[in-house]
Amino acid sequence: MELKPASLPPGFGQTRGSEHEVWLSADKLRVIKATHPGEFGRKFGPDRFATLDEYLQRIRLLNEEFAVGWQIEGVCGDGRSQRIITSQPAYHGKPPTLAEIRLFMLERSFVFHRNRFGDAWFRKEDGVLVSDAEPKNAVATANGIMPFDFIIVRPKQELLNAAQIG
Amino acid sequence: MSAGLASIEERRAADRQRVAEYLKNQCPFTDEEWAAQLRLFETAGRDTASALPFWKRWFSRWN
Repeated sequence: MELKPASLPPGFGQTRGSEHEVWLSADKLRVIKATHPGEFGRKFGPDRFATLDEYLQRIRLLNEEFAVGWQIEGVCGDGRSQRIITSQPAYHGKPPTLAEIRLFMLERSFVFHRNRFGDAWFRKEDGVLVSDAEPKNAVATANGIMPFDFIIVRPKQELLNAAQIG
Repeated sequence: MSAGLASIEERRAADRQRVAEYLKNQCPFTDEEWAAQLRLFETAGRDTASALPFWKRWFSRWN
């Protein structure tokens, strides 16, 4: 996938998470996210840092699975200063509780696994695995939970074996 | 398609509908609402295991 060049939209630097800088768009309807320089977020498994391809795959899968409206805006910089700029609807709400997240995942047929790489939810019917399903990565809105930053992947069997999930 | 996969697809469709309804009624944040929401999520972030400081994130990359 070819990424179009983008500059950092105004407002950069409002808050820093473990994966992204996050700020509100000028129209205050969307949240802009920029990966940290030279990083593309986290992933599940022994190597905790995702590649660019893995990050783009995560965005696609999160939209397919939960319809969160995560859009790729472009890429800013290159090499070790490269950032991927994305945006999502600005969801009004508060962090859900772990119990609310658990119910949300169970309703979608995921099964919880505590393993050497951390907590994860796996659905064997279609081989989808979700990690980082924590209160800071979802918004409890009037229309239910919006999991805007869960990590999602269709893992290879060897990773499932290493995590003893299956 | 198996019954399990059909049920998963139904749930995905329901989620698409749920988000579309949210967006239809979405209002812009006020500055105060956004600041308050940021505080809530920063607090939630500090309480989770993945909230590593910068040096630890780099250390874990090489170890």
